[in-house]
Amino acid sequence: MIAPLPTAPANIPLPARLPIAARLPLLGLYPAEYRAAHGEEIAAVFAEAVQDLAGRAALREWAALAAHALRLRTRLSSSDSIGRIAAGAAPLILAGGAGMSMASLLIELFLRNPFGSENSGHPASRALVVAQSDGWGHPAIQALVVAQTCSWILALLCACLGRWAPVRILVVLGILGRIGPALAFIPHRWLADVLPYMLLMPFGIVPCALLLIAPPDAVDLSLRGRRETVLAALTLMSGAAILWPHVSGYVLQRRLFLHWGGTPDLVWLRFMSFDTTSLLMAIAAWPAAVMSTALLHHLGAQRPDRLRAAGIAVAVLPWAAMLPPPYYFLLAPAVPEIDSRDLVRNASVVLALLATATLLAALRRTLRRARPTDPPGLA
Amino acid sequence: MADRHLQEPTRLVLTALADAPRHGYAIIQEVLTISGGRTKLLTGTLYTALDRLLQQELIRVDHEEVVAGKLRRYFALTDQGRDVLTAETQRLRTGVAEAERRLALGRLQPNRGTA
Repeated sequence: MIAPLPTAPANIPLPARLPIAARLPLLGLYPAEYRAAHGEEIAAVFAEAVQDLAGRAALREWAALAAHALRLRTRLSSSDSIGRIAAGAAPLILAGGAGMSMASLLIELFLRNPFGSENSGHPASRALVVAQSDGWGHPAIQALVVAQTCSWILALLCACLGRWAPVRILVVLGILGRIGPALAFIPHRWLADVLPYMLLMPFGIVPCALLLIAPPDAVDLSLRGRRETVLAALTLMSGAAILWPHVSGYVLQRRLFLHWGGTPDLVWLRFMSFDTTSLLMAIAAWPAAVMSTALLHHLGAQRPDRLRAAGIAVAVLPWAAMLPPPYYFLLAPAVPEIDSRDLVRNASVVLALLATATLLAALRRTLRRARPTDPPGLA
Repeated sequence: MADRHLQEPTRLVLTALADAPRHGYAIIQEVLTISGGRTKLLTGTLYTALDRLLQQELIRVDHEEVVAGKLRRYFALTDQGRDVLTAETQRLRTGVAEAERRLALGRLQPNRGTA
């Protein structure tokens, strides 16, 4: 498709031969005000930049400028509040997805039966046998878990190296890895019911979209920022890996006795010494607690970036929609008693954690301001 | 700003403007030279950085001129931008000095860690 150059103002002499990328629409993508102020200048620089480039390199130049234009048009650049909030949220969304993925991988491959061998006599071990007969533990399922989790873990590694572009590609693969199997299971009614949660969950579509739209130049990839991201992921993983197998054991146990027509809660209480509801709440609240601590840490700094802090808070919010993953098995048609109170409870816990972190940070700043400064020479 | 170190494209743009005001394409060329040919700023990356630096008042528009029918807008460091680049340079210098010191120590103890 050969067309006159729609992107360049008429008074700019352009080289006789330009790559096809220079003929793609560009200036029209910019907001009118910005185009009026900078369009002519950008068109001139772009024309000079691509005049000696081959097709692919020129296309890359065009794509970078088109992304710049679209960010300005959608107010998602690093100069805009929304862009900076998204950039503040992105590392913790990554930490959340990677942390839960590492926990999932660890549990699926190494901690699948926390109650000992099949012959250990523990009721939950027998429950695992039933679960495995349903398809759990099948190599194909394990391969799927590895495929779903590895992209998130690799994304965290790329962030460690300060490479944000591959992070975004890997996160897209991670989302596809979750949605694909979920769509494949849609005929099963119970999974169709929980599909919205899978999309909204901390490493579902909505939070990941926030990560993807974050302006890369505003994401904190400093050594300190990268350390904080990795630390959040590892902390989150540790807690989930400790709590999750117990919850899984409970769920499996419950399934086993439903299978037998028993009363699961009574049997559960017989061999577990702590309250299951508290355990389920703990595993749901743990990631939000870790991230609220990150918020407290940031807000408590000498000069906190309020937009980044807002981003961290936004990254915590999806955990309100988080049911502990094994909880989904309780949503099977045989167990219809789960209702929206669980979500309200989760949301309350998450909001309470955020409010506590904000209040503590405000208190810390107030105390710091109130503390008298030592006169020089006393130190 | 001072407690966050600069991302590489930002630092390179500020460095390119440290000695004289430059226009967009000249900044791209200068960054290529400064980085020894390793960093070729894309036009989109450049203008993303310029927008942010203008907003943070680390650079300013120095003047405009039309050369061979092309609009050239020249950017220059502000005093604040100069301070930020100075602080960043000092930070990098400290890191380099420490790396050199440790390398020198390592050379003095060639068999360390191999026993």
